[in-house]
Amino acid sequence: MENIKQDFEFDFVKGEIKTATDSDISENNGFQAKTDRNLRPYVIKTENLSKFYKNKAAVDSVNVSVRQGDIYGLIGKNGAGKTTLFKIILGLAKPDNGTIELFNDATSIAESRKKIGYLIEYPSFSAKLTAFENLKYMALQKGCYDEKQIIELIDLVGLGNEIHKKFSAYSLGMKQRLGLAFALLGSPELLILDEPVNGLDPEAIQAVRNLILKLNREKNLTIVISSHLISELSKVADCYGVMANGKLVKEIDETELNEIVKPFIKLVVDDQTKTIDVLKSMGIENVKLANNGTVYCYDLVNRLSEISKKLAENGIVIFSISANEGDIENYFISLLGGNRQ
Amino acid sequence: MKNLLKAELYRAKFFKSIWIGLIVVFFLTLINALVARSLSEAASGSGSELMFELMGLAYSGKSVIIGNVGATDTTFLLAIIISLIVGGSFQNGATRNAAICGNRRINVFFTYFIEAMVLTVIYILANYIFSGLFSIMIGYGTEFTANEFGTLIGRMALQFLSVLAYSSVFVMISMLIRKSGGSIGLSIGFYIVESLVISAVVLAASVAGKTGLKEVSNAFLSTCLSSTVASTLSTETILICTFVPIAWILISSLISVLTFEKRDL
Repeated sequence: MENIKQDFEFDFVKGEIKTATDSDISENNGFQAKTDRNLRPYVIKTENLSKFYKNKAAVDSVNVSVRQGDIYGLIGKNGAGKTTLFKIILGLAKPDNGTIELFNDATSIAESRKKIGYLIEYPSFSAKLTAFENLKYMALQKGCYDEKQIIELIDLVGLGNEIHKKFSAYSLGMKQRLGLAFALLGSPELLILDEPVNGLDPEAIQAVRNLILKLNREKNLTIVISSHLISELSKVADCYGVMANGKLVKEIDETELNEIVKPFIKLVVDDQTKTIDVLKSMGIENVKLANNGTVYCYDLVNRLSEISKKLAENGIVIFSISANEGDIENYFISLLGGNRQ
Repeated sequence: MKNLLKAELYRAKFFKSIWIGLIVVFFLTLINALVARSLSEAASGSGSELMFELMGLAYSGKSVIIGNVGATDTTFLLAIIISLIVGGSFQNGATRNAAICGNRRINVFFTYFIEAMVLTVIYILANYIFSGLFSIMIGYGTEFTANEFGTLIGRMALQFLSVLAYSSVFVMISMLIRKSGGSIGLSIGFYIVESLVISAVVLAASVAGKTGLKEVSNAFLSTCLSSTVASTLSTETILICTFVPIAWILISSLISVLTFEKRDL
């Protein structure tokens, strides 16, 4: 994280990155290409992790696997157990069952936790101290006090002009940003962010998103984020865990997810066999048959009219035809027990 | 733990309550010294000196020095300040941060414990220094015999122990309550209720005529503290005033550590 300002400079007012070389994240310029996820070492690995409060499981036999370089999105409703899981990982809550491995090491957990930056629930700062004083105090606690880095981090989150303002005078969004600066203190290797965009305006959310992507891709920082905003999370995460009622109901990586929620065309026809033949002649191989003459087609989904025309030319009666966008949000809502639209 | 102590030292600068507390100590010792002088003058020539002495009231410069710590003021102030620091640390997340960044919880506890003990020492010393100064200023004189000086130091040591034990209890209360407001209330409550309990025990012992019951009051800290300002100190009292506070420090620390280790943050 040394000289972090030289690498990143975000404009929290405009919600964009200011440095010329880093102007567009989507181009992936200069970013380290990620190796195969399965080849990367574990940063967090839990086995049957459980935590009970008055006989009610807040975390129930959870097996989480976060690998180095992941941006791991943890999704779940309020009370699903996300924060409790984070607290257990950070050592703030003791598990009743199960084991945790941090950075491939199950023996020196306390030592490993020094490599974690975090923002849990709400930014914890002393109201009477300024941003700088608060960060200095926390850096001293961590044993990583470096005045230059503190100033750079405060600048990084767009609070450079408010550095000597007391924390009590900060707005919710400013407090959240200072929380992010705190999370980055001491050059952590793993960031755990619980609802990091709470209270931020859309532009600041965009800036945080960009910051997360930059830190992950350029510094290979592993980041675990929980958020209620699935659409926002899907813009950064490359791996997801879905929690409901304390259980991890699904853990899925981006490739798998794209496979599941990829766009498709749904056809209801009078002759499935003939339809398959016509689709194959068009180069569409990826199809799935269902009951009542339904055919799902996963290739050439942007060529709806061409497909319908070709089927009609071949004498196939089409009862209905519709194109469906891959909807990550709906997929996760269905996993959380809601109604998939 | 070194990092935590460094951080606490840095933060202490911003705790206005510490400095305000010291100013309060300054004025309270002045008031106490003036009250002692009035009492002394009232007693002068009336043959009441002995009565004042037997009542444990300040009537001389030496008594002013000892009597101020024996009075409730310093302990009362420490109850407030320790609660603000330790209880407040739980409230503003400082404890949570300390626990996460690789520190064992027992070290986090000891950081607060050491902080409270250092504050206690500073407050008692300030009390002695201010009391000594005012005692000289209002004309009690400065001369001590070697024997008197030894007694004074001995009483001071016992007072230190008792007030340190109180501070240890205030740390425990703050670590159990985890909020500054609640901790202040309960710490002051403990201090007041403890004295009331002793009075009740002594009264019950007198009514029932059971001297054994009266000895129960020896296990309380306020008994120890008031014993240090009594005119005479028996060997038994010295032993009680030594071991009772140590027991309170050990027990309250043990409760603090056990609950802190067990509870979620």
